[in-house]
Parts: sequence; structure tokens; C-alpha cells
Amino acid sequence: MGSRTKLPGGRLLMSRKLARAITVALAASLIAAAPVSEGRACGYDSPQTISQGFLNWHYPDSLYVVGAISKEVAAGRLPLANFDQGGPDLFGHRFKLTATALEQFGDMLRVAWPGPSQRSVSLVVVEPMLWARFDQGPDGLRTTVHVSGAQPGDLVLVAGEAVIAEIAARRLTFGQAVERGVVRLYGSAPQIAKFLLSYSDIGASDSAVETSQKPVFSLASAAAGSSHFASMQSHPVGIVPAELGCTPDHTEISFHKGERQ
Amino acid sequence: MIRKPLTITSLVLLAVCVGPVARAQDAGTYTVEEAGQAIKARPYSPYAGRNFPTRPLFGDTHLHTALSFDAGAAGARLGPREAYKFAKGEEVISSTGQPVRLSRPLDFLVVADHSDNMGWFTDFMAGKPEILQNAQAREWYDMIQSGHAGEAAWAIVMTFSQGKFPPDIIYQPGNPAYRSVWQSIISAAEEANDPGRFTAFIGFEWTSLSKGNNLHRNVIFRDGAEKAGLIEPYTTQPPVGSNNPRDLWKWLRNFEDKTGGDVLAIAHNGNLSNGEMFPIIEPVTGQEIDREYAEQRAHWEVLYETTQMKGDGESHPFLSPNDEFASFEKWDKGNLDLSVKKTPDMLEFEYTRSALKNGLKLEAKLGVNPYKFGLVGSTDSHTGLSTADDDNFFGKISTGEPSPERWSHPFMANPKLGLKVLGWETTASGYAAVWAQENTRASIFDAMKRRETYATTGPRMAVRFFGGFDFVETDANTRSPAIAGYTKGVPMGGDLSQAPAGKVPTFLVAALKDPIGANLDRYQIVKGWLDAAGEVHEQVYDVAWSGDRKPGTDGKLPPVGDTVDVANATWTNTIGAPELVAVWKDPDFDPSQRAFYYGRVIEIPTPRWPAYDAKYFGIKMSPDVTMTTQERAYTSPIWYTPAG
Repeated sequence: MGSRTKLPGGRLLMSRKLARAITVALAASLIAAAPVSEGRACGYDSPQTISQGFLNWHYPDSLYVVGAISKEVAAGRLPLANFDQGGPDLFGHRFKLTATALEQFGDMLRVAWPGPSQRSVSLVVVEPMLWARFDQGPDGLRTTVHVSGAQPGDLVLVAGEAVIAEIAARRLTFGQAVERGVVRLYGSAPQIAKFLLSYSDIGASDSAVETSQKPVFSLASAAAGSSHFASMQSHPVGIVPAELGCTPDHTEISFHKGERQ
Repeated sequence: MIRKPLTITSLVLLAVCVGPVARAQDAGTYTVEEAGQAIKARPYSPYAGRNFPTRPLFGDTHLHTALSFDAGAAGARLGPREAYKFAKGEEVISSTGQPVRLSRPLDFLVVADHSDNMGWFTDFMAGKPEILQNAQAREWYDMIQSGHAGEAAWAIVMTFSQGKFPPDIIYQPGNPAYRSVWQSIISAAEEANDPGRFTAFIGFEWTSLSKGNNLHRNVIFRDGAEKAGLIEPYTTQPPVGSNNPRDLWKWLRNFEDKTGGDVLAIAHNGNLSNGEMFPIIEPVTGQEIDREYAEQRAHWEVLYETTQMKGDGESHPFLSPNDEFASFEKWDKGNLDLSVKKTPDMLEFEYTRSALKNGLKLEAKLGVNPYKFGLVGSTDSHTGLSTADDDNFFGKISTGEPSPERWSHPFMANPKLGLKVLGWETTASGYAAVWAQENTRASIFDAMKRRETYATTGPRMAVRFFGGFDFVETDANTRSPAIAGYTKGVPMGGDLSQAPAGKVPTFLVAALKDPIGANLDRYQIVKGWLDAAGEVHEQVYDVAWSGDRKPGTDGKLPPVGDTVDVANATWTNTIGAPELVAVWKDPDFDPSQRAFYYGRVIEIPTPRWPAYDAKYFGIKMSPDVTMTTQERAYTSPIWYTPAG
């Protein structure tokens, strides 16, 4: 089972697992600023900062989502993340909001592709470095919030808190998020192509997304086709194979132009 | 006080004249006699035969890249090559994917990565087999691959910080991988070095940390690969390295003896040393510092980095209660890792001005002044991006690059002691300005050795400071005050010896605003001296200022005003002056007393970097966030030493 149960009327009941996760998150937030005593490093490294730092290497340039999110916030196209706003999250409210958005995101994945053939997906919300995993359970795709990280072979999504919240609220499609660089994908090329083909439209509401604005993804485009993939492939980032520093079976896809020199 | 405005044209000439003149090796300290040789009887053209630096070169002597363990671990992916490219004025993409460019290129850069474990992190993340053959490293690597990167990251950082790193894989001298990293740093500098246009120094940071107390030094080589490549950087972890500055000085001596090269060291962040940066009692021995310590320190550490992203270290309001500009970008809560809280008794041994004062005292006792240093600013950025401008601030570490939340992130904290530094408290500072004749390694290095340098908190104002006994008011009214400055006196960093009978030190000062920056509020001279009873004193004099302000009965000049529009992160140059120039005579001079004098130039108020963030991201910050600043420059001192 996932970490929540739906009640009649759509209310959510947190499972014990989620409650435990909130407790863990609280504890993590309290130790996040613990000093490195007798430190040889420079002393400003919190576990959160270090986790983000490692992420940027393990999934090369994954922190580019931070820059992309900053740009979107400045342009008024994304709200501020709740994380880090207004002091400690003593009652786990902000964590709960994010966990709920992740659950809703998982529901959207399940609805968009009800079959069992998709491989597991892990998603990290980059501000708090909160990981969630979407994998096949006996009853279909299940969502587990607050896992330690991605499992080998997972497709990995790197996104921001507000990005997931906006998709969950149907104000942003996954395809738009990818196009704007606020989500990045790491995995094999076929994995990524299949995921984009399946899920680009999640987050769409009929009135919110004009067809002409929607990114178009297809397996054919992954191979050689659409303008998006054409631009990706001609771009230095594009589909970046292992020789650019990815771990062996990681491929990243980005739609930004001019993002690396 | 004599105050005289100059025209912009004349100061532009002062600051921007080009045409470097060949000169023999010019390291050392200027005396009046030597300076006078710079300008002899001249032909009609006042500039023909000129033999002194004509414009300040701006640079950063302290920049970290992904090769520093902590920078890499915090997500920095830019290496030395990208760092040099950026410093040269090219646009690059930051580690968080943001395009960034300097408003103007820098003239020089020192990539100074931490020598301890330099390059290990990047090699580890690349899965280098030599590292992964170690069981502990393999375990960390497997943890990362199996979805436990966070735990692995924390384990690695804690192991490193506690000095428990597996010795067979630690990157230090003797390890071939370490040499390879060092060679790659050297290669990057050699490729970027472009004599006459841009200087790429070879350097590293010796990161001495004693129980959390910062004793760091940046080591800079005058030479290129042919000499720097003969050694490997000195580290702090025994038995190969040491935390003791005396051991660093021995290493520097050995380098020069072995290679015939030249090297210097620049300390920084005394404010995070908890009283150990400028000691009278040597922390290692518990004894008063001796003549050898004084000689070694004076020889190797001719400069001090007085302002940077972890705070400004020129003065402190506790030490200088009568100085209304002393409380500036203070980081005074504890030591570097906040493991020990700061107490007031530590401050005297942490700040530039008090160190200069204690230096006089020690010189009288030991015959050598260990704290006879000039001043520079630098960034200490760990992003590979040397940004010190408030409107273009890319933070201290990569996770502190521009974002709507960075101002509120805890930068460092110790909940047990109730200590916390938030993101907004990081300082967009600073740069090193060097009066070198040519933009080459040799010329800049030699100017550093003779302390002809000044620190800025970011703006590129041109600042002159000459001391002598014969300056007169008309010297401030020439087309090129530097001609008078070098002819009749010594520049910043120089020495004045016994005053001729009946004469007192006079100073020719001039400052020109940053061409794209803010106007100037005032030019001050800070004096410190040692009295007959062996007590040290200080006094700040306003010597040139904008407008028609008059000092009050307390001797204080009224504030210049404030045009900052915080909401829009703008200001206007409707107050202040574009240039200040004056000749000032010390009214309190006693020829029998040791003294030092340095210049401090204050800009009018401008928006601080959080104001630019608030405007750009459309966010509201808490009321305690400082939104305005008064940028400044600090010149190297000129020392007066009586005969005998």
C-alpha cells in the first residue's frame, strides 16, 4: 500500500508510515544545521546541503532545476516553495503538503498509464531532498514518500516542491515542467522517451493547457523526430551519454537552450 | 585638513593611464628615496619616463572550485578552467544552471583550492578505481549507487572533518593521484595566463583549523609550471602536513630554496579564529611569540585578506567604539565551525586594526613587527565564480546561488550554543586591488610583496595613498597627483623613517569612484600609534568628503544621506562625490612614537544583495535582514618608525 488511504469525500488519512516519515523529517530539520565539530571542511555543510551537492554529481547538473525554478519564480510562473519559509516546520505541515502533492502526482501517473509495464520511478524534491518512489505494487502503481533514494534501474526525476504541487494542482503539465527545466530526467534514453510519451500531459486541465502550447513527445521523436528532440540532439546537453560524466546507465534530457558552454 | 576637489578628467588620467614601462624586479618596500627615483627630472611631457604603476589591477586571490573537497561536496561543478574563463569576462553556466557573467573582467585570479584532499571528491564521484579499491570508499560508493546517497554523503563529510579519512586514499603529497590533480590545476593556470591582459596565478589554500579556529592561508606562486610543478601543495594532516603556521613557513622556505622561485602566503578570516590569528601568546606553545616567529611571519605574510564573504575584518565596534563605521558585515558569533562561542577578549587578536596596533608593540619589544602586512580583499567563493558585486552575487557555495530562499537558509549553526548564521549574512565581498606596472605574474606578485595593494568590498574604485613629509596643498591640484606622490613620498605599503626636524607626516590621498558604481562619501585616514608608556591607541580622521558638510562639536562628520530605494534595489548618485583628493597633515604627531596610517574610503549607501534578491524574486524578507550597505576600500598602511 501507499502511504495514505483515501476516505470517502476525498479526505486523506495519513498512515503510520507517513506519520513516522514526518517525525523523521522533523528530526532531520533539527539536525540539519548541526556543526561539523573539529571540522576540516569549511563548516557550513548541513546534511541537506551535502545531499544536494552529491545529487549534482550523481545526476550530473541536476541542480540546474534550482536555477530553472528560480527563474520561473522570478517570472511569476511558479510560487515559492514552502520549504524554508517561516522557520522550523514544527508540526510537519509543510512536509504534509509536499507528501500529499507527491501522492497526487503518483495518482496521476497511475491514471495516465494504468498498465503494469512502466518501470519504477524515483523522484527527489530538491529543496528538502525528499525522495519518493513510484513502483508497481499488487494493486498497481504505488507511491512511497520518504525513501532513502533511487533504486538501481529506476528512472529518476529531479524536481522542486512547487513544481510537483503545481502539477498536482493541474496548473502545470509534466511536459511543460520538463520544457522549462524545472524537472530533469535521468535514466536510459528509452526509459526517458517512454516516460515522456506516457506522462507529458499529466497535470493538464482541459482549460489550462492549449494544444499549441503543449510539448509533443513521441517514441519516434525520441529516435530522431520532433523538433524538441531535434533541438535536444543538436544541443550540447541533449541526451548526454556516459562520457559526459553520467553514471553508466544514466542519460539526462533537458530542453534548455544555451545552458552549458 | 586641506581638501581639494579634482576634476574627473584628471583623476581618470590618474587611474587609467596606460603604457606599461619596463622595470627591474621591484619587490620590496618603498622608501621616500626609492620612490623619488621613480620620477626624475622630466621632459616636457609629464608622462614621459614615468616609472610607476598607473592603474590598479583588480582580482581575486582566493577562489575555490569543484576541486576543493567542501566545494565539490556542496555541488560546485565548475573547475579551474571555468573559473578563469569567468574571471576573464566570459559568460558561463553556474552549478545550478544559471547563466552568469561579470560586469567587467577581472585582471587576475588565484584559484586557491584547499590542499587537503584536493580533487578527491571529483575523482571519487567519477568512480576512480584507485579510490574504489579501498573498502571504505567502495562502501560509500555502493551506498550512493543503491539509493543511499544522503547517508553516504554525510558519512564521507563527517569522516573527513574528523580526520579519520582512510590514509591509503587520502589525497596528499606522495599520492600519484594528488600530483595529477595539482598538475591539472597548474595546466589550467598556464592556459589561462595571458601576460599583459590577464594573470592566472598558481596557488592553493593551506586550511589549518585548530579546534574549529580558522588559521587558513592562501599560498601564491610568482612563477609558472616550471617551478610550481616541482612541488606538491602543503597540507595540514600529519604526518605529511601540519596545522602549525611555523611549519608552513618552513615549507615556503624549502620551496624557495629548492626551486629558486618566490612565494607568499595570505591569511584570512581572523574573525573566525577565536583569538588565534594575530596572537601575542602563540596558541601552539602557550608562550609569547618570539623574534623568529615575528621574522618568519613578517617575511612570508606580507598581505592579509581583510574582507571576504565570511565577513569583514578591518575593525570591530567593541575594539573601536568611537568609529561609527566599525560595525560592518560582522561575523563575530564564534569560530569557523561555530563549535566555540566568541568572547570579547578574543577580538583584539582577530581584527586588522588591532593586529596592526599590536604589531607596533611587538616591534618595540622584539625588533621585528610580525604584523606589518598590507591589505587585500577576496571572495573565498566556493562556486568557481568570483562575484563580489551586490547586484550579481552568486553566493559562497553552490547551493547558495541565486534562489528565492537562499537568504533564509541557515548557513551554519550550532543549536547547542544557540548560534546561527543565516544566508543573508554572507557578504558580497571583496576584491584585491594591486598597483602593478604590468598585468603579469611577476609585476603583480612584486607589487604584493611591497604591499602596494588595497582591499575593496567589491567596487572598483581607484584609491591612492601616499605618505611623506613634504606634501603641500598644491600637490592635490595637479593633473596627476601620483607624480607628486611617488616623487615626494611613499605609496601604500611603504615606510617613513625618522621625521626631519620640525616636520610631520603629510599624506596625499585621492580616490575615484568605480566608473559604474556609487559616489563617494568620504576618505578617512586611520592612525594607530604606540605611546611612551607602551600603550597603543587609534584615531580615525575624516580628511576629504563630499558636499559642504561640517564636522559637529564632537568632531564627527554628519552622514552623507541615503538615496537607496530598497523596494526597487536602486540608488542615485545625487549625493556624494565622484572623486576625493586632499593633502592631510597629522595634527597629533609625536616624532618619537611608532605609528601606522591607512586610508579608508567609504561609498554612499547602496542596496545590499538581499535587496536585489527581494526585487528580482518578488519576495518579502524579515525585518532583521540588512538591505543597504556602504561599500568601502582599505589601503595598505604606511608605517612611521622613529630612529633608534
